[in-house]
Amino acid sequence: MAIEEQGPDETLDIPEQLPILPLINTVIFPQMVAPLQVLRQKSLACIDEAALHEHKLMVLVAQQSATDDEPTGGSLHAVGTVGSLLQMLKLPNGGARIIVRGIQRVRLTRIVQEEPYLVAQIEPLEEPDDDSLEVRALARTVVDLFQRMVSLVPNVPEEVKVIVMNITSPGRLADFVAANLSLETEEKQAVLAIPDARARLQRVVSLLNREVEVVELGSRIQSQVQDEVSKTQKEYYLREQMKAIQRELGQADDRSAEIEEMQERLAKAKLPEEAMKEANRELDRLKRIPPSSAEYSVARTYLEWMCELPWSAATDDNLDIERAARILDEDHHDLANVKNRILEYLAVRKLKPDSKGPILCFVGPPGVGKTSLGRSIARAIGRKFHRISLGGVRDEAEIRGHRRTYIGALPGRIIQGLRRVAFNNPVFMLDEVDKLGMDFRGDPSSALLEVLDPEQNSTFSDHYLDVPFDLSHVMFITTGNLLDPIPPPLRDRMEVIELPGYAEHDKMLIAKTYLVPRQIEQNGLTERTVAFKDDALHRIIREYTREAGVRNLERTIGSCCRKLAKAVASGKARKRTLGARQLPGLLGPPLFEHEAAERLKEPGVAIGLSWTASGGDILFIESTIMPGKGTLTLTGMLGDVIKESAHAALSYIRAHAADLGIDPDFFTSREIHIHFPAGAIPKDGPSAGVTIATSIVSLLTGKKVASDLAMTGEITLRGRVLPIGGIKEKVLAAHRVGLRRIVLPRRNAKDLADVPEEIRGELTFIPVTTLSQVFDAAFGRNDAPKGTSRAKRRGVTRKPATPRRAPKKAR
Amino acid sequence: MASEDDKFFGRLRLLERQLDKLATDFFFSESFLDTPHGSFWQPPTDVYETEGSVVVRLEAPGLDVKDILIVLRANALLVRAVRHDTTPHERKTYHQLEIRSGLFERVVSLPPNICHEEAEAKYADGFLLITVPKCDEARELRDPVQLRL
Repeated sequence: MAIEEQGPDETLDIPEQLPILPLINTVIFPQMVAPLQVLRQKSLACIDEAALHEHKLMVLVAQQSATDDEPTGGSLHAVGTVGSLLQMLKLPNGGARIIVRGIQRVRLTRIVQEEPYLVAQIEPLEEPDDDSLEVRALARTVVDLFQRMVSLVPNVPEEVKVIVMNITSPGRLADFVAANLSLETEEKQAVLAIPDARARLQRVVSLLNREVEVVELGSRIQSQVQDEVSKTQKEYYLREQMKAIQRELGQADDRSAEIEEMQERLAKAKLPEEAMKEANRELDRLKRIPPSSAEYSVARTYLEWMCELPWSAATDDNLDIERAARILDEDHHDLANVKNRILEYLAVRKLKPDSKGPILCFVGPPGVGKTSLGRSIARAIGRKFHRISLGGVRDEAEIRGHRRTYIGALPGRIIQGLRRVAFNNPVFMLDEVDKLGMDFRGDPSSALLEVLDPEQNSTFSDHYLDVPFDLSHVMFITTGNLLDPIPPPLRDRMEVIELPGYAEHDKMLIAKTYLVPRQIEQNGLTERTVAFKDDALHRIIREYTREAGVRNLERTIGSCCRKLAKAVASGKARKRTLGARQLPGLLGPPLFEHEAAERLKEPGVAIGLSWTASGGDILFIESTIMPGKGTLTLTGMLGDVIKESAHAALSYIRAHAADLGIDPDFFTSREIHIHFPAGAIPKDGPSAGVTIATSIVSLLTGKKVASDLAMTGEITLRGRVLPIGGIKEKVLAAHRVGLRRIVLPRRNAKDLADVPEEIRGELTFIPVTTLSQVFDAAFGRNDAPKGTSRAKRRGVTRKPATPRRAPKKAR
Repeated sequence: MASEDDKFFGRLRLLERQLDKLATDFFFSESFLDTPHGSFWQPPTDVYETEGSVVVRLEAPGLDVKDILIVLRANALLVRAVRHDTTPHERKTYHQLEIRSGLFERVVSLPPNICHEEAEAKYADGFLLITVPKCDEARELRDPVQLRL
């Protein structure tokens, strides 16, 4: 209306030059009012200047960098807003707070003054009126989007919506929305720099779309969280209500329900009388104490244990002896004595169902299959299997549990194991029984005495349970690598079954029947793609592994399979047959070389046999004599026993010097040194006695010892040869390196039964009872066995066999 | 002495808070709405009703009567005026600046049963007082009426 256009009006004459107020992280749009904090001296000077003039005008321009403390013309954006200073307050800290209002978009054309404040030449950016349909549509989109966003954001006054609706100018709408979005300074500046309303709206629509998406996502997350919370609240409320209803109806609360349930479970568990009495006493106590007390949960946990123990649940044994034998054979090669023992047990069970479970102890080197044998036994009889490792256990409570008085008390591992298998007649394996520890917390091996005594374990009492539990149906199997560390009382309670190391041909069979198929399968190959030649397996057994068991053998076969799998998978090979020649290519150079028998070229050297945890080996014993004062020097990391047998040997020789054809005074002005090569390996035991004696006699008489002869046996001062252990391993070692005659104590001759038939056939054994028989074998009748055994020996004496050339064994 | 300072700074802090509040109030007030140049400031305005009339009272000292435009519409009253900065034009530094100058425009809505023709305006002691008598029935007002002081 015309009348309203009249009257006072101010056409703001914007001067061509105005002071600049640089803004940090802020963009002021036209028509926007904003509070600002002013701290910089130049800016304060700018405000002071602006305040002097009628309209208090200045140019508000955003800095390009927020960290720029001394902005110059170049570091400001080119487009800013002329603003008017509405209000100002100087603060005690020297700065000022101001309120400004944007008026007009301008472009800075050049800087005309730098000090004391920046002054710019400006040029207003005209905003042409644009009322096209497109602009109107854009404006409507902006309003819609903005309102949608506002409704999603909490704490925004409703008025904002109204304000947006009331803005009629599209350009100002764009400015308003841009100013009120949480945008980066750069994005806001970009909107400010667009003079054309349509383009500005377009930019704002895209920004707004993004923001709406962000806000919607945020509110979705928020509402999800809220849903969760209100769900739990609802549940809680309902539960409380249910409790109230139950109380109203006179129904029991959940505590008495719990006690009732416990009673039922106890009845189902068929506790023996004594245990039932104890459980009932505990249940009565549970009824009296409030659920919030710590005692309550102690009593409850105890009762739960009582319910869950297999007091009377037992699996039915499968007493089919043939089936059991088949299963045992499927899983393990040989080990005949163990298998027989199991079958015997089954037979006895069949005849006398209430017979007690045996307590077996498998002793043998690592990797011979002790643990897996236990598992296989359980499978053969049809019982559950449970295994615990006693290695490093040093607390008696591990076996027998803690008293209930302790917080967090638990039964021992035996009872825990029984609860887990849920039957009272499992095969219970106690691994590494030789590695039990012992310290101030008690001696677990003593606690084991009760567990492993068939006379006592029907009333085994766990500290936690405090009532006897019958362990007599459990079949206990313990395992260990060595028998010596097991305390004698414990050893006494068990039936020891030795699992000796495997001989080479056993390993060969095991590898072919079990390990190779298993590894081929595990590595995703098939028997058609990969085949191991026998010579390859031989070489792996001899040169890449040195052990009594087959663990490393399996690992090495696995390693070959993996490498072949790689070749197959990468398409380089389709079928591979692995021979001994290819092994170094796959596995690297051989890791071990067995002490090869060499021809004894000088007197003073004899070949002994030793026993190690990884099987047997041969041992050269060298002695030498030199001027000295009658001393005996022994080297090679020797233990006391072996040193003593060296002294015994020397004393015997000195005493019988004349008989042996040695100068009786040989020792007075001489010194003898005996060395056991491989000086870094500790050696001990009496079995080297005959070898030491032979070595010294050879040295003193100057006669060479036969090169094909190995010997073992303990000696006494009277020259008797006493039996020793480890015959099987020692014989296998001698056979492996190609020695074909073996001197051994006569009383050990019976142990030869353990040596496989085919190996026995290739060897000549010389059983002895006295040292002179040993010497006869070593020197006297050096050529005696020529006729018979040499033919069998295929010339090994002349041409000592290296492992590679060892004669093939019968298979 | 110290307490005097405390009082002073306390007052300063209060002022700061008021400034903040003012900024927000200003932002959400109609000042952001469309006017040719937008209002630079908003004089405090009372609107009250007596038995016989509706009274609009603006606190706006320092106006020149010729710079005031008052327009009555059917159910609204518009006041637009310009206050010039009349401080002496000399070198000075502001420590506090709150008095606004420049154009302002206020629109107040009015009830329908008023006598537009008998409205009166008066400017005295820095207050602009506009009195519009009430009548019994709503009247039609086709063209806006300008009130003269």
